Amino acid sequence: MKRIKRFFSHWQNWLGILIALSFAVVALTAPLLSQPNKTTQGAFKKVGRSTDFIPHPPSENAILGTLPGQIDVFHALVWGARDATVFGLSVALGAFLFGSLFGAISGYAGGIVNNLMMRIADAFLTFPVLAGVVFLQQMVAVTIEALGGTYWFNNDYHGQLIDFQFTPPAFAVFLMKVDPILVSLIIFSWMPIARIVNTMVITLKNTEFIQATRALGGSPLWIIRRHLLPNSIGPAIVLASRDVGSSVILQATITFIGLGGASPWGILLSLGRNWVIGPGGNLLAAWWVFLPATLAIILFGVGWNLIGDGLTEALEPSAATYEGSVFSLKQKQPKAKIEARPLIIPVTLPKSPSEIAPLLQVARDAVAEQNMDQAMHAYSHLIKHHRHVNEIRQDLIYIARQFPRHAIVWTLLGDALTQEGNHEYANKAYDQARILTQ
Amino acid sequence: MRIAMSPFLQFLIRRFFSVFISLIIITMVLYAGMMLTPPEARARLYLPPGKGGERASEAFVNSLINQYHLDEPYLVQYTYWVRSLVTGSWGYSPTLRADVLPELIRRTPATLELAFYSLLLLIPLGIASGLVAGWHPGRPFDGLFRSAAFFGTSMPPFIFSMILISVFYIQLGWFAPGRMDVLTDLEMTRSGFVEFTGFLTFDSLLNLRFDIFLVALRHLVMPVVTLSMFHWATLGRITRATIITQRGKEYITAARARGVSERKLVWRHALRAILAPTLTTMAFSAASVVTSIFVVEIIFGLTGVSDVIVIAMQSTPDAPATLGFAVYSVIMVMSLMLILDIVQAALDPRVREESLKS
Repeated sequence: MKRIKRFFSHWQNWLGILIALSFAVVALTAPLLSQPNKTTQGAFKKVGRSTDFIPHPPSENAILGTLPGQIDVFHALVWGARDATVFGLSVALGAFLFGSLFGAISGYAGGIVNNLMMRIADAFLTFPVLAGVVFLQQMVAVTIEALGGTYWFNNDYHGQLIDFQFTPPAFAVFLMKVDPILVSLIIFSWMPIARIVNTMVITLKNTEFIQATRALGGSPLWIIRRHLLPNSIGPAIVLASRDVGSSVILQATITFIGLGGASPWGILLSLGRNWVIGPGGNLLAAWWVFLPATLAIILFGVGWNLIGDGLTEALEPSAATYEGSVFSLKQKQPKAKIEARPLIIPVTLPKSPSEIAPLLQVARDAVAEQNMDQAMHAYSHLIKHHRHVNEIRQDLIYIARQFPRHAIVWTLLGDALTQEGNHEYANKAYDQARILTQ
Repeated sequence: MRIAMSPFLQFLIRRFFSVFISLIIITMVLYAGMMLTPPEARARLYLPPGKGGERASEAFVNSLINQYHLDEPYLVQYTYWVRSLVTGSWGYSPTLRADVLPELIRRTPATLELAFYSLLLLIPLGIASGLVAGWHPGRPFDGLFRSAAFFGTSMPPFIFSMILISVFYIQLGWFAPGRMDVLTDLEMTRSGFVEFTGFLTFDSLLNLRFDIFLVALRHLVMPVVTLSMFHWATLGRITRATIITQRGKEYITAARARGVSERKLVWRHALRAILAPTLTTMAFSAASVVTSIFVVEIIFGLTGVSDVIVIAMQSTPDAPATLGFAVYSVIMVMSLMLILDIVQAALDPRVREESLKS
């Protein structure tokens, strides 16, 4: 409840929701806002002679004017909102489902399987989306041609076009129904989600409080509902919500540069690109040609980005706001932050038999008292001076298991590992901190 | 036997190894994608010049399938394919009417030139502006930076470039798209312009032709600005977030207590601490940087590496060109990641000092 309240206390989040909702409403009511006529193909309606290549200003026929070829801007805008919303949500949902499944399975399996699966996820991160989009389309095209059909990549406002001189085989029919851009965007956006779900599942699997709950007779369902879901699905949803806006912009980009896809907004811009400067050299002389589509694309992206930022902040306040960070000397309400994540069992660190330096002892006492600020302060001081790095590393790993969502613990762990010369694991720890602060 | 190695060298070797593993995984995934198509389609990867497309007879395709083991299990085929990749025979592209690898290499300098100038502009700018903004959050400069960064991240590059072309090329005529004017190109051919690096800006300086250098710059301004803006905003935001967490740290307070000037505090102490995390983040988004490089290239008509897919997507399907492009672009992303990692490790005082010690 606190999180929801926090989410709604910022005007930016309200603005984001308002924008996303208005696009959704436009998408749902598209048939009411602009009726198709018999020339309509997809999101495009012609309201005049198609040989008339001069864009006409807004009139009662076309509320937002026409493009070269007398294509109604308003109609394409409204129906494009429908395409964009469906496309963005499908990509986000697909990436979310596949990513969390991949991450959870890999984390649950653990060991060498987990290593291998996360390596695969990392390898996907090195693949430029554009190459993937083109590759998938070409694979479909090559297959269609090998099956005896003909494939055109870019047809004015259809995207790809497939033609068979005979009844197409079942596989070809299936390929004709799939949108290659949608599939490839899903294939190239699931990795961050898989990573974060994976980290959470592994951390939770090993946390004592999960094992303790299990030992105390907590049912698996209760554990999943109370611990696994809020801790791992939350961040995954945040990442997926960012995909909605970015994938729609990417789709429009790909369409605009002519590499496939059928984003109506992208097509709108590419059809009108020669009229951005209107007659007489006035940037606003033919504003209806580019301004509506531009604003639609930008607003759609901004709306969903605001929602994503807001969700991040609501789930992890210390990471996003940075005000009163764990290290600020003023220590703005440090207590409240710890209360926000109640511990099931108190943390007690193992006492090492060897002589313990006073400052390390201070740090460990602070951890036992759950005074994280003081503890982290002491640890960072010790790390800076190369003292007891080995013990500190062990302590920090222990603390990181208990507080997996505190970026600062991961950063310190990274520092400690760097001091030890273990750069690979240090990078992993920094990476984790980065994921949390984003 | 254990050989003592400096941590920096260890780091390099580990990095190279992990890149190598990633490369193997990604090529396996790519070929697995190819395996979804029927063997007749895969045979197109090996079609020689003049036998492209529908003109290849069924008997000929079948002989290719036999010759290149295209109906054998996945791993066998993958090994044969990797062998052909390593030996440099990346296939004949029917749309380019040439072999794939030389065509890709020929177009690389244009892409590298764009990437070089953009990274040169955006990395210092992003780190410096984020640093200054985050040092005093809430001040007017921070507000300015945040609105500019918000604008930068929300403005899709293709729309921004469309506006740039309209205003600065069509309207004002200051800058131009494309790589070169036709007239300058002719002049270059006539005057015996020697290509040393393939970078037009470097070559013109080496040829002592400052007029050509200016023309090359004129063509580079718009793509570099477009590319830099989006990634500058992302990098600046990350830097700002990092510096805000570092600002209150003990070493800063200690340095301030020692009487280190505020300017030195920012540009020496704080800058060092944030370089490593920000460059690591940048390395993680290397794929998106390369994607935007391709997009900007295509929009401004700089016939770089992405020109290959633009041609391949215009007419008949072209599997060799696309597969080659995919492998090539992955190698480009990995090199960028590696460079950023090495720069980061070289700048990170913790890594550097340790390597000096040993």
